[in-house]
Amino acid sequence: MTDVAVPPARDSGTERRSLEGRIVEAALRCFGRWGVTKTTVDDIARDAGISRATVYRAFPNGRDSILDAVVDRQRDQFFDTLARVVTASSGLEELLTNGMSQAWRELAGDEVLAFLLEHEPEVVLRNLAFERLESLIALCREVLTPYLAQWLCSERASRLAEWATRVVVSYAVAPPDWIGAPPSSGSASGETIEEWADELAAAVVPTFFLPVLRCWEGGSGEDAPRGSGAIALRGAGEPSPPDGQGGRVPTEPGTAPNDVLPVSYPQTTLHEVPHG
Amino acid sequence: MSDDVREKILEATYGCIARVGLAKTTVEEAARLSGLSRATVYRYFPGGKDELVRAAVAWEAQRFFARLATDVSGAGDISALIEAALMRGQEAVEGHEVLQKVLHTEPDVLMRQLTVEGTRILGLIRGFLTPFLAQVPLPESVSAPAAADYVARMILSHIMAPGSWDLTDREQVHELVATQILGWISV
Repeated sequence: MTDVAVPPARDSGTERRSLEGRIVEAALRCFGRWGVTKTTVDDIARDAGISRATVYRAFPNGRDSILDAVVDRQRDQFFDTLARVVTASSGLEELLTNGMSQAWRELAGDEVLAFLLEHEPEVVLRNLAFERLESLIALCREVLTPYLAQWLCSERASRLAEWATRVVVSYAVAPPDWIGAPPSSGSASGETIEEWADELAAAVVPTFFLPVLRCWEGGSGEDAPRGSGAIALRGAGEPSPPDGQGGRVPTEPGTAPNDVLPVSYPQTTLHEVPHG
Repeated sequence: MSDDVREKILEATYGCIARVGLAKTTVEEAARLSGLSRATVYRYFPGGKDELVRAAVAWEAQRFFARLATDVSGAGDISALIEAALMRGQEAVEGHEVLQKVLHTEPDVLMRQLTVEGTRILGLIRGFLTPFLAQVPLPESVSAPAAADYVARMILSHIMAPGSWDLTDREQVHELVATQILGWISV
């Protein structure tokens, strides 16, 4: 069910893949310890318990190609987890809230990413600005649109995928004042990264997304007038999951779609920004 | 220390970056171009080359957004203002020769500068937008600065990477602003 995000396996056999995997994991540990710039192929070889020559046999271009493989693997894992969360959601609002929270959990909880953002931010940020941001948006649109198209016409599903990607990236790179930085492990406040991400998603989705999605829902090409018409962000219509597997729960019996929407916005979170 | 001298040094440094890039810009060259001594440049920028380059990037980023703010300030309402900011902003990013050159030749060096600067730029746009958003009826739970923060993020994101939106197309920009950027407010 995660075939949306996982690229076809390389044809070089299990043994080769496991060697590559070992090197990638060793590289990841080294990056988390010393950063990308200071990690050498020797460091990676030593950590993986293999010779330098073996590393080069798997990755003839050395460190840069290992870095690419690390990024690929992290990205695939990210989308695998996201796909699981998204597939388990039974409505658009839930999908968006859980998906964005999951994305923030992964990004804020990734220790290597946190290390790099602190010590070599350019290694991370170059992937999140200008042309690379374009590529990332295009990738997310491709991966996420099929899930969103269960509830929206494909054009709006694609728009929403891009929109959510931008918001996730922006708030992950620089959390807004009204929520503050994600808690680091063992922080004094006792708040967990999961709670932080949930809080962020629970504020952002109802505030900025839902009013617009209410107008979009229904999948027609024309914008419905604001605030009009039936709203069914949960369990609407007769969706068909992108992977052909059914099993989502449609509208709960006896529950009008309007009733399952939050009628009020979170009352406090967005107020914490001091005026001026 | 005078602001004029500081400005002169930054302008010379920026000219230097435009010609040779971020990495090859030196205190010596900035001093030569501004007609000042090395010692004077160091007096204004004790951190030397790194501080000088960072300050010059910040200086141009602020000028960039000041120009943008001037360009859009005549817009009639908040929607027109943001539409103009997106169109002019993206145009200005694409037409910014030094930015485009450095993006292609030294993306990592630029990103290192923009890490700190990015947060400040976000703050600048937020500060610019807050009074405008204070005049529109926001949902009860959202303060004007929090609203401006969201809108600033969306503007920055789109002028850096327009994605599927054609920001030269007035109708598309109108749709983008009416939905994703301001659709949550009853403007």
